[in-house]
Amino acid sequence: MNLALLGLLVVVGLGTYLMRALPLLTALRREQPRERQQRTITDEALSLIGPSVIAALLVTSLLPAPQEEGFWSALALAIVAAVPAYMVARRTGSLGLTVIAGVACYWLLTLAATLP
Amino acid sequence: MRSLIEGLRAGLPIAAGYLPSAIAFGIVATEAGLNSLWATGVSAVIFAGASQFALAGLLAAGASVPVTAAALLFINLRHALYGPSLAPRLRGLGRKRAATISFGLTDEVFALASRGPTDGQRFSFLWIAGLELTAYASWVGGTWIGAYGGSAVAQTAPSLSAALGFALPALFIALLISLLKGAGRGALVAAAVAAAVATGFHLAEMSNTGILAAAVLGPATALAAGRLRG
Repeated sequence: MNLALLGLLVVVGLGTYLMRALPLLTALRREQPRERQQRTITDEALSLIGPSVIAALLVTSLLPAPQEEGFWSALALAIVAAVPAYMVARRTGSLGLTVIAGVACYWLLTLAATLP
Repeated sequence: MRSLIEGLRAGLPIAAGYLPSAIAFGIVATEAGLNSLWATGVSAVIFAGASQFALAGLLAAGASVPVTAAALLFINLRHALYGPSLAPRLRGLGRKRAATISFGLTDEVFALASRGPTDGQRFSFLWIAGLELTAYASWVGGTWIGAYGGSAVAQTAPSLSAALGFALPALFIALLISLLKGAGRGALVAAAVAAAVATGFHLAEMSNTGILAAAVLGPATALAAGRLRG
C-alpha cells in the first residue's frame, strides 16, 4: 500500500505542480506587451479570470453543502456574517480587518444560537 | 527583505482560513487509513485542499490508484489558468523564480496575488514567496496538528474552529470588492456570471468542476457581451 500511495503522491504532486508551472512559464515567454500596440483578446480574457475565480470561490465557500442538514439555517448564518465583512471591506479595503469582522460575527452568531 | 516580511504578513488571512481546514484534513486523512506522517506528507507534496479531501474520500472508498490520480488531477485542473492570469505582473521574474513560486499557486494564493500588495510594495518574487510560505506553513502545520492531535483538537473550541472556517469567505469578499473597485463592466459581468455558474454546479454537488467552468464561462460571457455592445 505504501508503494502505491507513494506513486500516487508523486504523480498527483508532480502533475499539480506542472499544471501550475507550465502555463505560467509559457505565458511568460509570450511577446512582451510593449512590443504590441494593443491588448489582445487573450490579454482581456486572462485579466477577467481573477474576478471570475474569486467570485466562484466566494460562492462555493459561502454555500453549505447541498445535502447538509440545516442547509437554510447554515446559509442564513453565512449571509448574516457576510454583511459586516462586506461593510468593513467596502469602508477600509483591509483584508485583515474584513477577515476579523467576518470571523467575529460568525462566532458570535454561532454562540448566540447555542444559548437556551 | 521588507518585501518578504510584507508577503509573510499578507498571507496571514489565508493562514487563518487554512488552519481549520488543514486540521480537518489531518483528521479525515488518518480516519481514511493514512498514518500521521503520510497525512502530513500529502499536504506537503500536493498542497491543494479540495483534491486532498477527495483523496481521503477515495482512499476510504477503496478506489484504485489510477482512478484516484485522475480524479485529483481533474480537480486541480483550474490551477492551470492561474499562471497565465498572473503573468503580466510576473514579467521580469526569471524562469527559475517563476518555476519556484508556481508550487504555491493555490486558489487562495492566486486570489490574493491577483490583487497584489496594496501598501506601496512592489509585486516582487519575495512578496509572493512570503505569501506562499505563510499559506504553506499553516496548511502543512495544520495538517500535522489534526493528524497527530485527532478530533480532540477540533473539540477544544468547536465554535471557534467553525468560525475560523469563515475566514476564507471573508477573505474572498475583501478580494472581490478590491478587484471590482474601479474595474470595468467586463469584470462585473465576468464575476456575476462566474458566481451564477459556480452556484449551479455547487448545488449539483460538483463544486470543483464549477470553479473551472466559472473561470472559463465568466470571462467568455463578459467578452461576448462586450463585443455585442460594440
